[in-house]
Amino acid sequence: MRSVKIFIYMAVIFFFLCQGMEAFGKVYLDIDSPAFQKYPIAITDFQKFSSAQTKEDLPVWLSDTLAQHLNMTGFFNIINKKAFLQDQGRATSPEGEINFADWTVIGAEYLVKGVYNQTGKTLVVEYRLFDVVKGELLSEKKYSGRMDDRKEIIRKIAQEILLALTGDGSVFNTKIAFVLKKNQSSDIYTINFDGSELTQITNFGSTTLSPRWSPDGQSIAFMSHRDGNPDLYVRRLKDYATSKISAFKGLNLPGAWSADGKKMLMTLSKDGNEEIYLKDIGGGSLRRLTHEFSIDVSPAWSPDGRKIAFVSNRSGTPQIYLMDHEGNGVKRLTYEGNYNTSPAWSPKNNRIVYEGRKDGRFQIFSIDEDGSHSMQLSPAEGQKESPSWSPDGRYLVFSQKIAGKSRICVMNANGSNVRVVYENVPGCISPSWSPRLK
Amino acid sequence: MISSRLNRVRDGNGFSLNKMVCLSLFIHIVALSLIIFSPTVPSPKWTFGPVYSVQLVNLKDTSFRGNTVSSLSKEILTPSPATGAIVLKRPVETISSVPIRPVDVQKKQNPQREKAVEAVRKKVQLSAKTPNRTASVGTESSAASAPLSNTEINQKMASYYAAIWSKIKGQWSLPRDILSKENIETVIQARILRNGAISDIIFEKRSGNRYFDDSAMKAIKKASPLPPLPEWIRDNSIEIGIRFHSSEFR
Repeated sequence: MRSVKIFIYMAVIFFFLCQGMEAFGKVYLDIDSPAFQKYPIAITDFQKFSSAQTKEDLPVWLSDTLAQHLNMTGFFNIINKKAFLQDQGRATSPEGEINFADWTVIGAEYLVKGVYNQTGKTLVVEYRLFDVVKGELLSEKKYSGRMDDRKEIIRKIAQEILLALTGDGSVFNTKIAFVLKKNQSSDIYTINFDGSELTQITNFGSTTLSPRWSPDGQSIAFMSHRDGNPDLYVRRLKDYATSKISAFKGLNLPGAWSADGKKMLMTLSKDGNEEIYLKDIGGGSLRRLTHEFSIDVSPAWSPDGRKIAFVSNRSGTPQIYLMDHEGNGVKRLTYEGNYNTSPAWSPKNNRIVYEGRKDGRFQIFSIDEDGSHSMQLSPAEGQKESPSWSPDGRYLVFSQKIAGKSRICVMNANGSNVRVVYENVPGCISPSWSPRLK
Repeated sequence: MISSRLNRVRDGNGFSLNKMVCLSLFIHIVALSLIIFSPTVPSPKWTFGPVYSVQLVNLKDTSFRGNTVSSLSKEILTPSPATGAIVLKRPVETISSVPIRPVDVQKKQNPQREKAVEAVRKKVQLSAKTPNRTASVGTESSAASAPLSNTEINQKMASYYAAIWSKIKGQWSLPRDILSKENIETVIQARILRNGAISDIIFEKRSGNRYFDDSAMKAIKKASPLPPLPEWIRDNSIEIGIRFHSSEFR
């Protein structure tokens, strides 16, 4: 009797178990990479406050300039205004209700709306950034300034949007220093990330080369033949106060500032051939880090300051080497190609970019600190030299010579989205990206 | 009849401690035996999980890779569909009740299990003296040599999952440069209703990168509605997990 019961219970249990198992097994789909590498964003024309009397082209200028700035970052796909389902006039009033579905259906994930008011020479611009998929307001801000500063206002808005959507908007607050050749002399200039505000920093009427930003962004170190010998100077940007840091016989070439701004790696040839030294900028103590009969140049710190990448021809051809901050544990990094120079260490990770000669032309390459993942970043056209990282580690600036023209170009760290920042016939070389500026 | 007996027990009519102990004992035995024996039997994850991870990577290749699916699952599904169905579905319950860990555990276990299945299959095939099949070792090669007579259900599922995979991927936008260099992964669980609408979208595992997680969530929300469930799925909804990772991306 008992065994019968047991079987009955078991049958009941199995029956219920089977019932519960009707559902299909949970499937996991793996998605390795996104279809698009840019955020789709819609920017409506900025709407003037109802009472405002303004120029007719300003609404379009504001939205188009903002679109241009966001486009520069390489992170956004600006949706063509012709695709908008909502009437611009109605759609641009931020107070009005937004039908988010009208934006998701055209593929947008984000929407920027703005209003402005112009009274005399004063311009007030307000923007709102929406996540249209979630139907949320992400950020909003109001800026007021002079009409002449409208580009600066747009740059600030672009910075806020980039910050809200990617966690770092600092690139709009950076400058690029580079060398501009004129006749027999060359001087240091700076320019904004967006290519505006070309500013001359030195005017010595001699060859001035190799700009290097101080970590606080307030000074630039460079080498100049101002007094005949190629000496190392530091110029404060605020008042152009200049001090000579190193004036040994022979080459005095700035390499890289330490993160605290107190020391500098430099290349000196005072002992016969080019060697790498570490110098206290204030105190003056000097330490030699390399001791080879070959040429050792172009030192670059790792982000933590514990390692140094540099160029040496100790193996016969110029190659990139690594050593610790004391000059020990030297290890060769590059083996491909017979001319690899100008290393720059990513401020964010263990990636090192450099220029390397391939098929007779210089190109930008990147390689991991351990020698893996070596790849060419730049497209093949023209000569490309002197890569330098943006402080957020997302972009690279380099100089390019193509079809008789000389350019300063910016690209995303993966080699995409190459953009010309400055172009000049006689020659612009040796760009160096500033840290975040105040 | 059963329920009346059970009721009698519950009502205390003829209640005895022994009976309750017996009942409890057998429930435990059954439950334990299921837990103990189920890992030795192929779980549905083999037929669905790894299968689709491989297969859906390349849409154009579905027919070829679809064979991979069926050859793996064939032995599980074909010999005795009835018992297979019971065993197959058992682990699903366990996994859905543990939201985070199963993902990792499952991933680690799969290769081992897959190897074990391969080994078993090889043995079976050797004894059956089918030289064509014994030559195949890897999943792909076995798929290539497998005959085209796949179970229809597998093909249908493959194409349905391929469709939803491509729709979700097609909505995923994320700039590469905002990620750190490490590989990250986020797993989102969602329910597909009969009409294709997606509901109950929740994170099963977060990557730790807010922008990565956000973009994955957006991709799923933008992909809604998905194609309606195929008719042969009897349930009103199915649950899927979508693993987004940055490995290929970096």
